[in-house]
Formats: sequence, structure tokens, C-alpha cells
Amino acid sequence: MKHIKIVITLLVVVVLSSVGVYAVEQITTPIIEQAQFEAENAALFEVFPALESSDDLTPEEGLDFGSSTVTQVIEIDGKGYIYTAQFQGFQSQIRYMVGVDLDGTITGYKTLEQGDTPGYGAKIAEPAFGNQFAGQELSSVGAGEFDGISGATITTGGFTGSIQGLADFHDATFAGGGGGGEETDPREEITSEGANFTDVTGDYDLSGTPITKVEFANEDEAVIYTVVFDGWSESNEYIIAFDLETHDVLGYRALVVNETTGIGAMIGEDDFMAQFDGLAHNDALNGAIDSVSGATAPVTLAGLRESLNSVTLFHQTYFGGGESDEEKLERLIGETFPSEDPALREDVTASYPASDAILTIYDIYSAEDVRIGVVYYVEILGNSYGNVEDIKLLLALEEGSIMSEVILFDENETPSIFELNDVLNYHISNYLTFLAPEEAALSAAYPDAVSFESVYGDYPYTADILNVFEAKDAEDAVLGYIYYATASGFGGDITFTWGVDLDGVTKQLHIISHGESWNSAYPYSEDPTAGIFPNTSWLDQFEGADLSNTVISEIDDVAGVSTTTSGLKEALAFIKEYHESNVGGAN
Amino acid sequence: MAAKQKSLKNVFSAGLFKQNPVFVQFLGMCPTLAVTGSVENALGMGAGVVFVLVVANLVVSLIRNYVPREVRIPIYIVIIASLVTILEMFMKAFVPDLAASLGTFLSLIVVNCLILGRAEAFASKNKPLASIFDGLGMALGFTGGLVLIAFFRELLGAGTVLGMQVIPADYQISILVQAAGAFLVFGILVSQVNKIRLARENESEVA
Repeated sequence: MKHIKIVITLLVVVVLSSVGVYAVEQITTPIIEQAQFEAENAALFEVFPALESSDDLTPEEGLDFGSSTVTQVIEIDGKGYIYTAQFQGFQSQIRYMVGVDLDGTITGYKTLEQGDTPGYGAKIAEPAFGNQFAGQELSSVGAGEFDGISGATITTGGFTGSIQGLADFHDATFAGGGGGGEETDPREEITSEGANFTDVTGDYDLSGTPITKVEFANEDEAVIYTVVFDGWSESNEYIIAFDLETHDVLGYRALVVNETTGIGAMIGEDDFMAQFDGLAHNDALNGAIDSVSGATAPVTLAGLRESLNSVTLFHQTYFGGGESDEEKLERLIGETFPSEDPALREDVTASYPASDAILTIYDIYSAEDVRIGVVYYVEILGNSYGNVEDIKLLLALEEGSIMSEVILFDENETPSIFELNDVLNYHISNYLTFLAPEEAALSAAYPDAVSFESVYGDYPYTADILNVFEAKDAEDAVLGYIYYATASGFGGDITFTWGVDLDGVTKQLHIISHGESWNSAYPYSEDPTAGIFPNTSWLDQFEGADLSNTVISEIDDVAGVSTTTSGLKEALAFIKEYHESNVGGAN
Repeated sequence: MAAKQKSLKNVFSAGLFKQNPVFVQFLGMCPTLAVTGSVENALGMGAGVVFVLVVANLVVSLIRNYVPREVRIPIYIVIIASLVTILEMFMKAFVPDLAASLGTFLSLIVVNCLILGRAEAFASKNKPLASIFDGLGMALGFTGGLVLIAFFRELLGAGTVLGMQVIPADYQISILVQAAGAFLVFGILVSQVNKIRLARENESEVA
């Protein structure tokens, strides 16, 4: 009997429990299902904001998810895809949902289920993690370009593998416009669709170039070069097409990219490749391409630019292109005063004496029509004397004769500094207007003369002599010369005029301006009646003296004001020498 | 009446401290170690245990006179399992967030020795009211122990209290939220709780 009681009791308990559980299940199941459905439904809208309630949300059937962790795909016609995937985290299965639009851009991410360590892996369900994905390329996220969860290596690793598999699956199944159809030939992408290509590699000497293949597209429409270059890593490969009529770049496509993801790998990104569409020939020559997507990849970029340069030069050699000399000159002149853009220029070559070296002289005007400088286009001897070669260059001088720029027209030679000096001398002699004192200062230096004419342009320019004048009488006959110059005194520059007649006898030494004081010399002076500077009798020694018999350095300084007297003596001695070797000697 | 009241109070308070299931009886170690990574989880687990333990104790107490000794354990298990299943379904239906965060631990209540232990040790020998008080006391003591462990693990390990950041990331002892950390914190807390408990017991003996 006892046994029967045991069996019956057990049976009753089990039946009652089952009935209880069943009853509760009846009540809760619909609620749970609805809650789950709503949660997942809400997640759908969350990860794919463009979703509308009228869209068909039936999961795709018959897809082989292969080894990827994808569990479900919903294709929203004309909008994109919503993936659900599940992977093993640190201590739980983690299920998430991700929306992808037709371009492969992630529209949103949500973790549906997770049971990983709170504070670590569980952060995968936090907005800080999920919100980083919207707007990113699925392919780059699949390649690991996202911020993992610090301290949760296993969870992050699981997610990385999962999203990578998802991206690969997406790529293989839907990429290329949703049909997963044939891939277009990159050569057609950068030339024209359906173009036929002729391999003419054998017709060209490719040694010394990075080019591995030369092809024509539609006979003479374009030429496509396959190029291999080393960036940070070795053997990256790209194709580039040049239009055979304009010689501009039609397009570029990276074929093999071995560079670092997130850095050099940008050379394979759409943004980067788009820079080449219609890139001007010269820009290609000069490597006028930039990093994109915030990547800093100077090594990769330098490698690419170098290869681009040689490819463009190769193209020039065989097919032409590049700017003409005139175009280049225009461009270089534009570079001389770039800040004054649009600078206006006037060819003023004819206004100046002809010169073997100087091809063209341009006055440069600002937009306000103020002359801001002059540019000489010159052809002078290069610096390689063993291999005498003329080089062309542009020499830009700002108004006021400050040399602002030397731009080489041919970049393979350095100019000879002596030749450059000749050009500068020409500028000084022919172009500059020399400083002139007031006529009274000239008359004071040469009282006999009635008219004065600057002749400094005929003689070598030196910084110490401001100007040289011919002193003429009423019949316009030259009586002598007047030097307008400066000397360094104790209280600053002393400017003066000094007349010399044709026989080399000095006329008057007229001090125009000075900052000197002669007073302090009185107690020491042998002749206290010498007077206060500039009316000092010491200056009389330089008047009416035969220069050829005067050794200026032997004239005594005045004790107490020796800085003034020695400064003047130095300047006058220089003028004497200049006069004897140039002006006086010429007569 | 007075004596009965006192007895119920004693029954209730035994679970809270003197016979604390976590620090004294070492019952239900699996969830103790597993869910104490955060205070929130500990509270959720505690809430589940409160429900299951009180109801299980009540049911077991009610049928205590009809259950043959030989099959009492299977019967208790069936009852507890049914209660847990019911609890799980209710939670999923009405508090899905909590159910999600408790995850598999909810099902683990079935094999929590605490439930079976109280059914066997108390409810099967006491009246329903006392059993309810015992269940409540034990469950709250269990919850308290869990929360205490979780508080230290979460605070020192993840730098948060109930999800609010209080300690910057650089100063966290991340091993504490991992499984091994549960043992460390648990061991230290057991030693401290028992030090206090034994000191009190000695005092009362002397008195």
C-alpha cells in the first residue's frame, strides 16, 4: 500500500505542477511573443531608420550563410538589408542586428541579447558602442575599423570575427548593386563602358619606369598604364588612364593595395580614387593628389606621387601632353607674386636696353593697379661649368628691389650666382630710379654748375653711393661730377654731396643731414675755432683739393669726434677710388 | 501569542544574519559567485529567490504531512522547478528587461541548494506561516549577501554603483568582476562577517 501511496502522491504532484505551468504558459506566451516581436521590430526600425511599416519584413530564404555568424537577412526592396547575427562572447551568446543600405553603409546597430560581464563585455549593449557604426562602411567595419571595448578582448574579438563574416557575406551576396552580378572591369570604369583594350606593352621600353603594362582603349581613345609602386609596403598596383587627346587623366583604380588599413590603404578608397577623375596632366605630373578620410600616409603618398610623375613623363615622351613653354611661363609668373592674385602684368622689355641674358621684363601690378614689382625672365649660364648649358629662370623683385623669388624654368640646373648678379646689376642700372637730393644740395656742392643730370646708370652700382650727377654749365657742357652719398657718423648716417671737376679737383663738400655734435671735440681740438659741425673748418680739407694727390686716410682725425671724422674719411676715400676707377677714369 | 510572535521573529531574523545562507550556510554558491558582478543583477537574482523560496516553502509546508519520506526530494524538486518556470515566464512577460539581464541565472534557481535546503530543513517540519517567514528571512539574507558581494565587486572592479561611474577606469581592479574575483571578494567577506558574528555569539554566551 505504501508503494501505491508514493506513486500516487508523485503523480498528483507532477500533474498539478504541469497543469500550473501550462496554465501560466497559456497566459504569458502571447505576451512574451508579442514583447519579443515588438522588441525585434523596434530594433529593425532602430537599425534601419529609413524603414517604413509598409515594407516587407519577411526574412530572405534559401541563403547559404556559410561559415558566417549571420542568422537572418531581411532585404528591403530598394532600401537595403537588415542582418541578424549571433556569436559567442566571453560567457554568453551575443545576438545583434545591423542595417546596411544599398551602398554598403551601415545604417544602425543594436545588440539584441547578451549576457557578458557587466562593466566589460556587457558594454556591447551600450549606446556608446552601438552608435559608432551608423554611417560607416560595412566593409571597413568588417576590416576592423571600429572602437572595441577596452578590457573585453574576447567579446570584441568575437564581434570582430562576426561582423567580418557578415561583411564578407554581404559583399559576396549583395554587393555591386544588389544583384551580385558580374564585376565591372576597372579599365572600363575609367575609360568607357564596353571599351575594347589592346595590349601594346611590347611596343615600348618600360625599363626604368614603374609601368608594367600599356594598353589602348578603343584604339586611340585613351591609354591605360598598369603601374606597380612601393609605398609603406611593397608592390601596390594601380591602373591609370590618360586621354590621348587632352592628355589629362581619365581615372585611377587601385588593383592591389598592400598598405596599412586606415593609413596607406586609403589609396584604394573611393574618395581617393575620385581625385583622379579629370585630373589635369600637369597636376598628375606634379602629384597634386591628397590624403583622404583623415588618413596621414606621407610614405604611401610619396611613393604614389613618384610613380605618377614617372608615368606622366613616360606618357609625355611617347604621346605628348604637358604644357607648352608659353603656358609654363604664364604659370610660373603667376607664382612669383601669388599673394597679389590676380596680379596684372605688362611686358615692358622694349622700354629698357636690350640684354643678352634678359628675355622679358614684366612689371607686375596689383589689382589696385599699383606696381608691386618686376619679374625678369632670363636665360643665363648654369652652374655646371663642365657641361655648359643655358638655363632659364624667373627672377622676381618686389618694388623697392627686395628679391622675392627665383623660380627655375628648367629644374635640372642651378644658376650661376655671377650671372644672377649681372641681372641684378642690369636691374639697378636700367630699371631703378636713383635717389636724388634737392637741387640746392647739388648747387652747394658745385656752385658753378646750372644743371645736373644723373648718370649713375652708366656706372656700377654700389650701396654706398646713392647717385652720381653730371654738373653742367649753361651750354650743357659737363663741368664735373657730384656724388650724392652717405657716411656713417656717431649720431647716424651723414648724407652729403661732393663735387669733383673734370681734372679731379674737389669742389664743395656739402653736408645735407647729420646727427653729429662737434662741441665735444672743442677741448681736444688743436684749433678751437674750427666751428661746430657741419660748419667745421676740418671739412675744408676736402674742398679744392686735387684728389690724385690726396691720400684721404692720412688726414688727421679730430680728437674727441674721431668716429665722425673717420666715418667721413672712409666714405670720401671710397668715392675717390670709385671716381678714379669709374667716372673720372672714363673721361 | 507572545511566544509565537517571538518565534516567528527569530525564524525570520535567523536567515538574515545568524544563519545567513551566503556567509554562514554556504548555500547557493553557484549564483552567489556568478551573478554578483553587479548590484543590479544581485538584486534581480535576490528578487527571484525571494519569490521562489517563499512560495516553495509555503507549498512544501502545506503538503508536508502528505509527502512520503522516500520521495520527498523528487517532489520538492518538481515543485521548485515548476515555480521557477512559472516565475521565468512571468518575468519574461512582464519585466522582460530584468529577465534578459538575469539570463540563464534565473533557471539556475532550480538547482539552488538554498531552496531545496530550506524545504528539507524547515518547511517540511514547520507550519505554513513559520515556513513563509523562514523563506522570507533566508531569501532576504541571501539577497543581502549577494548585494554585499556585488557592491564590492562592482565598485572596485568596474568602478560603478548600480551602473553609475564613481571610480575612473584607470583605478579599477578588473579581475574582481571576473569569475576569479568573486572568490576573492567572497572569501574576504566571509572572514569579516564571521568575525563579527562569532564575536557577537561569544558576547551573548558570556552575558
